[in-house]
Amino acid sequence: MNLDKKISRRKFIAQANCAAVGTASLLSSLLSLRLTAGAVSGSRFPDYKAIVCLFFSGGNDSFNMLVPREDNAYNEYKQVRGGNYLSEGVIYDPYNLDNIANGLGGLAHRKDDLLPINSTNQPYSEFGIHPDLPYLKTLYDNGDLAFVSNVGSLIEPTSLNDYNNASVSLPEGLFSHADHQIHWQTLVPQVRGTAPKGWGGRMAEVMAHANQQDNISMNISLSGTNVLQTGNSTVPYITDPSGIVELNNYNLDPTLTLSVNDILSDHYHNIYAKTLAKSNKKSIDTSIFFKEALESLDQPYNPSDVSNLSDTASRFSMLSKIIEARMALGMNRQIFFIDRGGWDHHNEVVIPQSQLFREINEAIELFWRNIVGLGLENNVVLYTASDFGRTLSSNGSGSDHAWGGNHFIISGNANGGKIYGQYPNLSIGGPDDVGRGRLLPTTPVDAYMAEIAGWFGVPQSELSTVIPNINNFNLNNLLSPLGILNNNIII
Amino acid sequence: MISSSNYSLFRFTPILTCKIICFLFAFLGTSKAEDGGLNQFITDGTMVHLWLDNSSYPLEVIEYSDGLSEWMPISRNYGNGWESISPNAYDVYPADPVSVLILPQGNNGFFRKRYEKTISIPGNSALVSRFLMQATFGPTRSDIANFPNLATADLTESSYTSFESWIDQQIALPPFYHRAFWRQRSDPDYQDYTWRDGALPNEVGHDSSLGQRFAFYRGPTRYDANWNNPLPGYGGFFDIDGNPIDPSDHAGNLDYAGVPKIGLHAENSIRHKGHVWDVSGLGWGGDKKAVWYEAAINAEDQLRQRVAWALSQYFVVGEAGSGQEGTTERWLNYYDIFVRNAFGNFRDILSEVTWSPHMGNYLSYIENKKADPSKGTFPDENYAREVMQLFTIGLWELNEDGTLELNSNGKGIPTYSIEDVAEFAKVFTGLRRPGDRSNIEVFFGNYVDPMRIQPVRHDFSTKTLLDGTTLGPFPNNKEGVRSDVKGLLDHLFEHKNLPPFFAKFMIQRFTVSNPSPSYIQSVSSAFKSGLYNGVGSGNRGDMAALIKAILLHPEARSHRLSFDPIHGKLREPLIRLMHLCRSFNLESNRVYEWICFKNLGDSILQAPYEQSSVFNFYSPSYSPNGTISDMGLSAPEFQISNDVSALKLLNHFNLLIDQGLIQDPSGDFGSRWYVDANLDFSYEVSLSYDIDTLISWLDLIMCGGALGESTKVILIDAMNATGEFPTDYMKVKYLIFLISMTVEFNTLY
Repeated sequence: MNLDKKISRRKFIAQANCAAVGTASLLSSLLSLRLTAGAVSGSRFPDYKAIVCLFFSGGNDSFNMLVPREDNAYNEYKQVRGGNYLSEGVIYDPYNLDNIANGLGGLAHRKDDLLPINSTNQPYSEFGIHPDLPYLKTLYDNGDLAFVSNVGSLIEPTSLNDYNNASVSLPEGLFSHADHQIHWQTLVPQVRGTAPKGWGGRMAEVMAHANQQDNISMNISLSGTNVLQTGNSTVPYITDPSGIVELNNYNLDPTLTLSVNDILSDHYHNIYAKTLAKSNKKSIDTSIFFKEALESLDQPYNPSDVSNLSDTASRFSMLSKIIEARMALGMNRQIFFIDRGGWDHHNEVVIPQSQLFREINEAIELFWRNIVGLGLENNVVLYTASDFGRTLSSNGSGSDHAWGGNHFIISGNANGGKIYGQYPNLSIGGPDDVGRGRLLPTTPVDAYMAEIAGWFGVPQSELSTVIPNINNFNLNNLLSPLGILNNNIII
Repeated sequence: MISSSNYSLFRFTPILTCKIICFLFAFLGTSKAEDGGLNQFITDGTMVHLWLDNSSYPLEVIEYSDGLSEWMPISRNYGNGWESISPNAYDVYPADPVSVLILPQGNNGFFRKRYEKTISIPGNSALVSRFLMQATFGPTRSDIANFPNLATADLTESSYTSFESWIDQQIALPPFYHRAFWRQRSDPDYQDYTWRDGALPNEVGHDSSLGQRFAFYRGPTRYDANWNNPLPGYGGFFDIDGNPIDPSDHAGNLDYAGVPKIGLHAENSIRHKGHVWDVSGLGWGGDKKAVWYEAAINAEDQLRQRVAWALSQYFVVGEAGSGQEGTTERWLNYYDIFVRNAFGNFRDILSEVTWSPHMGNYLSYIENKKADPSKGTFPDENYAREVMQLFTIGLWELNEDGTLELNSNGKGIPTYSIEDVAEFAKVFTGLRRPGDRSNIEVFFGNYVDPMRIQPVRHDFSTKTLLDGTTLGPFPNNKEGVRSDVKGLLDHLFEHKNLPPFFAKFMIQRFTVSNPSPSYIQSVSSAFKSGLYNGVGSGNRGDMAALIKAILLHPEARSHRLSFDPIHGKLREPLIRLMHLCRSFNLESNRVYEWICFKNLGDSILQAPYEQSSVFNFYSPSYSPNGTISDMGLSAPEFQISNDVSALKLLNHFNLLIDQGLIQDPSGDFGSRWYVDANLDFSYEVSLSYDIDTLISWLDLIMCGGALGESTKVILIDAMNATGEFPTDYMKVKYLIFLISMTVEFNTLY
């Protein structure tokens, strides 16, 4: 009788934990969270802070976003990427299809097209930002933007030897979209799937008392259901640039109000019926409250104002209105999620990525000007996430799934103008290359997120609830392990 | 042996009446604990053995808790013996008169829930309507009335022969081919040649009597004299009846290049619009969707269309990121792979998909080249990964009942590594876009005919397969490339994971979100053996056997399970919408006749061809927070049911019922600013003299007879509270809208 072949989810989680180093307390802390939700009680926070996660789903080829410009390192970059994309003399323009005809076939940007920046704490100082991200350079030069290099999901410190010998625990489902996306959001890469819940959701539960009411979730998604913001007992409120969606006529017809309330009451024993009734009722109630708050603004949100904007810009535009309505919503802490897909550039990297970056650059500029206009540049942190970086080597004109990648944080509060983490050696078969230019991350996602959780106000005692593997990495200052954000009260 | 007094043993005996409303309260409110519900109880210190005697009750469920707070169902018996339940899938050893359930020991308690009273058996019409909710895009009055043996059969009888007869009838119906439907109503040369005498010779498909009602995009075309169908019998080279075209049949009709001519064409033709007014209103990319809505709402071969729809969510090609949104023929041609093979063989689907330039383009292996050391390039890994992860074997080794296979440390076993992906990427090299040709819709090339082969770009090295055996080497020619691709697809097709992996996916699309291991096992086994009840092709991959096993399993059919809380699913939003369209006969009131929904993916997050990525609209394992997630269960459709999309869906129902198909103020739902299609409520109006009669009918046609007594009370109260409606028509519409918001319409259990 082979009893072992069957598995339960709970058993699986427990085993996954036992198998991992230093995470024996993970399960207990996740379970105890239900009992201790809102453990950070006491006074509300006196200041306002908002986190914005901008997720590039599909896997941004981010070694074309942040590139070394120093001679040797640039040449290694150019070589590993199969040479330049454009020949000398051709004008850079991702919307001019003649560029493709003139392309040399490599994935590397020409050195002169890269927007030059400097950083102090790397092996060399000259770097370049992708030519279609000029606003990032502006922010970087102002000290409001910091890059973090070669970030990826890990369970514990992992060297190339450790990887090759499988002598440490490695994330489940390495190099697959779904798994890596989930790992970035649960921060529990030793568990396959979403059972550990999202760290944004867990953080909202730990800090539940920060906000003045609980009609609206601390988590708000502009891009639908996601793992990040789904906690043990909380889900994000979901809205989109088409404006607040209410149930038509619900408030106008008292019979309808009563009937809908009855139809969507909580008496069903079938789990799908019960879940649907509960969630539809919550959607209806929240939409009314939310709409009132947004309509209380001097200039209420108007969906037609964003009709000419790109997908990403329209979401950011709505997002800044929600931040503007923070008082009416009774919010001191908010976490936002925006997803922009389309980065899975197997087929072709350079042109599609450049076009996406133009959209991103424009959207971030619009958003950040709004935030500065509200005087909230120190109260907002925007950070990027993505499934993984991509292979440094080319598959002809595109790149494939890899691991470590580059990211950035924007905030007036940031010690910007610097590249954090270790910018890797990009040479073929370099010290972090697990094959084909798939780079072993040198900074765990955990350290990157701890930076943000610490800034948001998660106390150190609760940090391992939010970031369960945080103690595995021998980090110095757990609430700001990279030293990017100033962890203080911002009035 | 440890005495049973160490454990909490409960017996749960709800008091039932025939009214479901009472049942619910009894179920939830009046638990009664007694000893002795579980007769035998043995533990060896590690595992607990529960002895379960045969049940004479309609439904019994054993629940387990490790903290006496959250109770998980672990076994049930609804008249077919004790079985285990997902997600724990503990072993049950069925025997007569006592079965044994084995699970790990812990500080636990058990609950035995009994449904003591006879559960009243729904009428035949209700059983049929519920079946049609699973197997079609929604029941209609005539579908129910014409169901085999409706008046005479005992539809609860466990061989379910009437249901099987219906499936056999459906299989025998001529397929509704999407491409043919479109071609019959569109003609690339129509405008250019209207001055001539009607239809052109050799046109494929166009029926001039049907006019020119779809757009046809075609740039300059040319013949490639070297073009050669790489795999006759596979891929898109089919006539409108779905039969493979043998170019030699057209030997008497060669073009200037000596290539068989299938039709005339105009050089440099542009996007042709129909001459019927307002056809262009379908919008960019809308033609293919209008064909889909026509099929879903009006095609006779409903089961085939539902299977095709499910397959299109498995072998996904979506508009986003394809660069092909505005075209039509390549999408319809690709979709017809699923229509044609809905009751055929999975292996043929896998081949046709793999050779399709439409998939080749979407997952970027078209034009894929072998590694070039001089440039430091490697083959594209995209398809090599997804053909395993999504189309055949999945990420983890499975048992035949769909449960995870574990290694000696109790961990899941990955099916492949990154090295396997890189290895298989070499197989999908040297496949290229076929040359352009006349009389197909060309937009930046031919994405209709199967990909052609260019051996010089192919990696002919010997490949190591997942089990360590090798594939190749094959001769350095086209045949060698075919052997390489065929060899890898065969390898994946024969993998032990495919039957349970695919079975679970398909079960979720039709009947329940959390099938029991025994349900998966029997579907998996039908797929493997090619036989359902001993009948079928006998070939691995038989789709008809799989579909029968899904729809005719007791877990899909037994009305007793409607009382099991974990049974059933949230219905797909698009299917709920189609249900209203079919049950109330949505018809265009315009000369072009098409049903022009706007891109519904923008509002309700589901529409034909609108998946945002190859990962479909939702993940098969998505689990919404709350009860479902706490129990470790899945409910994929909840991934696209959020604060925005769920209310937009209800608003769409409202608009459709109240006004018809029309654009809403935010520009969603209909394609036009005027009503261009209406529902027909004349039958319902004829019943409106009596509210109970009307509700009974709507319960049957909208909810498969599942409308709870408490919901009926709510509806009657609402109708009374509203007072007199100005017209019966308005009364009917109000009531239908209320029912469209009920859980009984939106879920299926």
